[in-house]
Amino acid sequence: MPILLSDTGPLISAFQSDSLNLLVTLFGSVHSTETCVNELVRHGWGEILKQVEGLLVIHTLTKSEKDDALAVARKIAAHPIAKDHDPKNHLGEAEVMALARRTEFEGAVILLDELAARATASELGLTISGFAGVLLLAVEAGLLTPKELRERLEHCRKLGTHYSTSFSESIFQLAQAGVK
Amino acid sequence: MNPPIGQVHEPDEALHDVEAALEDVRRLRKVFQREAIGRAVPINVPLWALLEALDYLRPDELRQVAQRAEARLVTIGVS
Repeated sequence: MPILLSDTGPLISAFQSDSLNLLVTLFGSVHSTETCVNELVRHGWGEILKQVEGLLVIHTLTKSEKDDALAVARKIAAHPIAKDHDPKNHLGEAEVMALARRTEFEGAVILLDELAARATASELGLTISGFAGVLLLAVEAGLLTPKELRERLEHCRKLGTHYSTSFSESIFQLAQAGVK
Repeated sequence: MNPPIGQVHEPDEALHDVEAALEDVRRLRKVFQREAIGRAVPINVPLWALLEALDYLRPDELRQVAQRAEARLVTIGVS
């Protein structure tokens, strides 16, 4: 079973749609970093984090991994498609990418929704997916119905995640059509 | 406890589109297929061996290699 490493944004989507258990069912374990946890707490998910203790494994980066993450954060911030050019605002996703370089996480999937971070991760040769892609996989695996997938994306949207209605609808249609 | 409403992480950053989600699920399928076959370990192959292997590929396989190379060049910003 491949390991899943997640950035803050997709973890928020998982919390918003009560999907963390689904991620654990598919991947066995979900890992993230202290910076992502701090961001989650800042966004008001502190209580939920206590409730999911054991499902989400939090890692502390070494000094050299933190240096590595800072270099990656600078790369994301400087990416032509990035809108926010401050590296410190990209440390969460950069730390997850640095974590992915550990031998124990070789071949892991990194959950990323933001374009600039995804582009940077691909350039680094890392395996990525967005939250919607994992939900589509869950439909294929028979763990979700297409309707449940749409409800989960809509739930995220109503709670503030920037998935548009047309995005949810198109993903739903893909799921209904058997994905391909 | 009620979930926080309206809390957007990095609100300025654009999220991926439907096409990318479709690519994601295709990629995930491959990852799971590889896992089902067995754990893989990386090996270093000299570039000359990789290039020489091209001589043994069928036309449809060569096309796949060409498409993969094109996609990789786009990804790393070299066209």
